[in-house]
Amino acid sequence: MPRITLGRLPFENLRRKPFRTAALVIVVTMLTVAFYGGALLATNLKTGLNSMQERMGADLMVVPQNTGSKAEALLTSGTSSTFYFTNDIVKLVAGADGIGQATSQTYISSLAAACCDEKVQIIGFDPATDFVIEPWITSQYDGTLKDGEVVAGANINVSENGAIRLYNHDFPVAAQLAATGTSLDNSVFVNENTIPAVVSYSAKVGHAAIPQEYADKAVSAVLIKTADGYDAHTVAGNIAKASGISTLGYVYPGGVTASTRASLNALVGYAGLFLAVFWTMGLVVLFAVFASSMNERKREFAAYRIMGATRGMLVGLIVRESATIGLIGGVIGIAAASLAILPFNTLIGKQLQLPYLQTGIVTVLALVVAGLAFAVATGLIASIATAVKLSAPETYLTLREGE
Amino acid sequence: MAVLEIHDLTREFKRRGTPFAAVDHVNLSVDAGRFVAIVGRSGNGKSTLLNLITGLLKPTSGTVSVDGQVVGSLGDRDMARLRNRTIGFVTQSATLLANLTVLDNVILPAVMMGEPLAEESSDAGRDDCHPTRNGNESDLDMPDVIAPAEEEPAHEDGLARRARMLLESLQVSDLADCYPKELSGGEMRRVSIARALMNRPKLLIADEPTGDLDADSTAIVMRLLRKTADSGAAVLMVTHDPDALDYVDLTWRMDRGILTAV
Repeated sequence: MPRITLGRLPFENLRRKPFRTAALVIVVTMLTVAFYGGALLATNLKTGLNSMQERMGADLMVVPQNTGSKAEALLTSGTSSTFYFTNDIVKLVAGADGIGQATSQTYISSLAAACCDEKVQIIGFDPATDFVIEPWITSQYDGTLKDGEVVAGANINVSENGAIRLYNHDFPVAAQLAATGTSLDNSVFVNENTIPAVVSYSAKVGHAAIPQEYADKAVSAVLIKTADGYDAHTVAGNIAKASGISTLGYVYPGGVTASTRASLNALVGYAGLFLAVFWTMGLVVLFAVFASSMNERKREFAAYRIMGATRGMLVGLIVRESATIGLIGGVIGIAAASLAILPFNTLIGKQLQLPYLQTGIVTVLALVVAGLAFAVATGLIASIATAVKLSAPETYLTLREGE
Repeated sequence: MAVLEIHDLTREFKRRGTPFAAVDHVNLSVDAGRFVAIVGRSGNGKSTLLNLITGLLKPTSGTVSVDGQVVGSLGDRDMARLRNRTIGFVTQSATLLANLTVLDNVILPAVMMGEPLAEESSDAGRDDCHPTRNGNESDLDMPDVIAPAEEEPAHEDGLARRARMLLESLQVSDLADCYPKELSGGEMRRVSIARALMNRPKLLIADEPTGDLDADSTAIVMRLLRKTADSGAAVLMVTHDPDALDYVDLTWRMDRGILTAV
């Protein structure tokens, strides 16, 4: 065994007091789990929200009467839905003032499918007018979506033969998209020409998604980008006037994002407050444990002084002990939180009912570094006062106190 | 030449708001090679005086000089160096480090300053505290129960060899790998003495070094302290043990903080 050195001393002290060391490490671990885990969850929620915002594209959605909440749920992370107009809504809307771009989409909620845990949201879009789905799809799939083909969201399990089975029919998958953290990850996209076929397959299995007579003209929503200088609410008023229908439903995706962001900010705020209180309590516990153990160690520190340790050496000794505890607790805490969060993104997103998207590796690494720094700093803050006190100039009095 | 010089040294404390002098205008000089004892009743300032000498307490007035350096004028780093390299201190209470083995406890002062002692490796075989090891030069003062030192493992360096020799000379070398909690009070005392001698101090201060020891162990320790003085160190000891006084050159008495020659 190598002889004792000043550098090895803190580790010997920690090794020979396993119970005290373990207690301190556990406290730091708990604080790190709260800090790093909380920060990772908050970051993922914000990433999901930003992703949702990027995918919105439209300023206004015109939907059938009383389906606004379904449409909002579809935008965030709610359950899949089927709803549709029975009239030619695209034509009625088109005449309104203030519309920059307009495109229609059709939403069909499938039966539970082999590919997925839950129902799949089928979204039909019009490639000719689309300005919402296509830019996103083309960023990852540069082909043209053929009739009968689908583009699958990130959470859809595509079979080995490159298809998904819906309504007892295998739809070839042209591409699979990256995760967005929204309900779009559980959706499949088809061009509008495929919708009648989907309806037909659904009818064949006895669960017609849409009555056959509306199959080739069903539109669930008209998505509108307002012309420059027009407010979405003003355009909604114009649409009501132009169509002569006062009972249309309107969804303002910007407002949905804003309200989701507000909920998220409130959640993060509360979590931050909880974390601050938790951290303060943890710091007090650590401080108390350090202070009481240091009281027990007065004689030991007096012995160091007698042997010729400077005050700086004593402070350094305690700092290295507490930093080591912080580092061990930090590593364990980060590993535990990572294991609890990183593999379960989909489940967490589903439980939170909020847009939730795993942030990139660089951000995760930055959080890991911040988490470690936090853990080490917590250990240091808790011990530094005791270190200064123990290195008091009149060591004999410290020795007497320790007796 | 005086290794220790104390001039008009006073240290006051307050007890229930009333100041009193635990050490009262003390003057003392101890030359190299001299073994001096201080006797006196408990609570009369003997331990306070030793702690003032080692700089672990600050005087109210007066000065202490060790090896030509005025203790009160030194900064923390220089004072620490003086304590480490010039002074060896055997405290009254047990101050062995519970988390280190006996051997590491003894070695620690030698590595404390981060630089090895100049002669640590070169004269590892020379030990002024240890009886001769080849059997040709017998030391009549030392008991014949001291066994020849065992051959140290080849990987051990000079510091470990010296530490083992010191433990051997105090008959506790078999405890080298034990932790302090496994030792008796007397064994801890002897290990503390070995630790104080590790850096070959010019001034050895011992506060009741035979307090927990039986007669045989007392004899071993006192012969070692005598030998330390004979090899050129100044030794200052506080004791209540009349048997210990047989080994010293000079005895002082401390009464209510005042030091007088016996």
